Amino acid sequence: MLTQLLNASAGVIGGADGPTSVYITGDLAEALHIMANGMLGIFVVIGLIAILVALLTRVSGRK
Amino acid sequence: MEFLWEGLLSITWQQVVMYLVGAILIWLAIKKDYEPALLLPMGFGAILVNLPLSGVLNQTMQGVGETQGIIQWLFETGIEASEAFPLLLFIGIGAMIDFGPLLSNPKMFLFGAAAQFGIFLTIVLAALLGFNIRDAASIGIIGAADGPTSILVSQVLKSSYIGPIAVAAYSYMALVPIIQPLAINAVTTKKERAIRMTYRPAAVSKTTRILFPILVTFVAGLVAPASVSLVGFLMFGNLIRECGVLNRLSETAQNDLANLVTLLLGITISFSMQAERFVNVETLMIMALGLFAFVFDTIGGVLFAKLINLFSRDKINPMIGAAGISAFPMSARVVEKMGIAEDNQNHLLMHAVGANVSGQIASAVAGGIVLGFFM
Repeated sequence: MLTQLLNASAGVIGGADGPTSVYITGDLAEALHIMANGMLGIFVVIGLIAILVALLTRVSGRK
Repeated sequence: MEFLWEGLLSITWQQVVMYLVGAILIWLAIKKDYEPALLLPMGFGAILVNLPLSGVLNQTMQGVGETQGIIQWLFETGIEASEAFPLLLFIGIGAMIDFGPLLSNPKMFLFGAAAQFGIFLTIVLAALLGFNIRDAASIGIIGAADGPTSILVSQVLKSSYIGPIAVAAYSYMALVPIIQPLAINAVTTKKERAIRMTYRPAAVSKTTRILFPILVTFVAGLVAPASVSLVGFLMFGNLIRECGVLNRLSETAQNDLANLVTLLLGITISFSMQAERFVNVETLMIMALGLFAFVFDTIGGVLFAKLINLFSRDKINPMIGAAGISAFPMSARVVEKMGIAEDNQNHLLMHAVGANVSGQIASAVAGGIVLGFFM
């Protein structure tokens, strides 16, 4: 557990007499990228399917 | 008699823990009826693979050389080499699902997408806790609430935690009736849960039902190509169901194929439940992260419904958003039950079923999208 937490991907480095900085490691940055683009991707795919199904239902309903 | 003692003395404490895990899974399956078709074979398999020098795993024996173990062979052939088991199960699942309630109300598609939020938030949390990005993505997929997708994604990404991930995915799917009401109650008011929704389904023609699986495969395949094996097999099963000329195949897919693959998948996945890989702190963290994923899937769906209500004239009961997870039909039943608890005339089942089957497609798409980031 300790190792896991020491390997944590984000944190704050700083002290009372020095500048404080926030760090994010590569894996966390990639995870955030996956989250943003993944949710966008799902809404695009599912939204597109929903629109096509709505059109299909309307067209086949007119016949 | 010496060989008896040798066997007993070579049992490690980690293997004893795995016997207990196996016993708990079998108990949950038999006594609590929690996903028995999977938890029972997994529980028994956990005991099988953790017996010292277990013959179900490959072993090197003195004077004989290497011997093949059946569970290891099943895992290497059916999951590692081809992902055949989870994919074949998808044909059966596709053949079981009636997408009618979704096709008659396409707005419900969006809830399936929104309720995948837990997957992505969990990937971030897992990365934050120090898991490497491939393991974090595999852990996040527990939130797909879909066992075959979780197994497939974690296998393709070569995660070291496929065993705990499969156990978490199936355990929490079984616990949906307990997890979801808590999460829903936390983010909704009594007034919101009592919102009534009238059900006016549009007629769905046979042509629409037949074209739907083909259309979904095309869109998912073109926009998120990595999802095409998952979505494609799901939709293939559904096309067999809806075409009307393959009733025998449809019944075989729904019953014989699904049962046979489920039987083998459960016992096969136990290969990844060997003590040295399973008994560690990471397994506990994965179980906690899996729970987190399910909770935030639910919350994501509910909050999305609330967001839509800000702009919509016809209010949606926010609990419908929670049914957007893939756990079918448990999630839809939870919403129906909670709706009736607030107002005994408030039947939300058909809306919830629409969102729930949308979750089936969205979770497969989510799995493909996550895989796409690593290709």
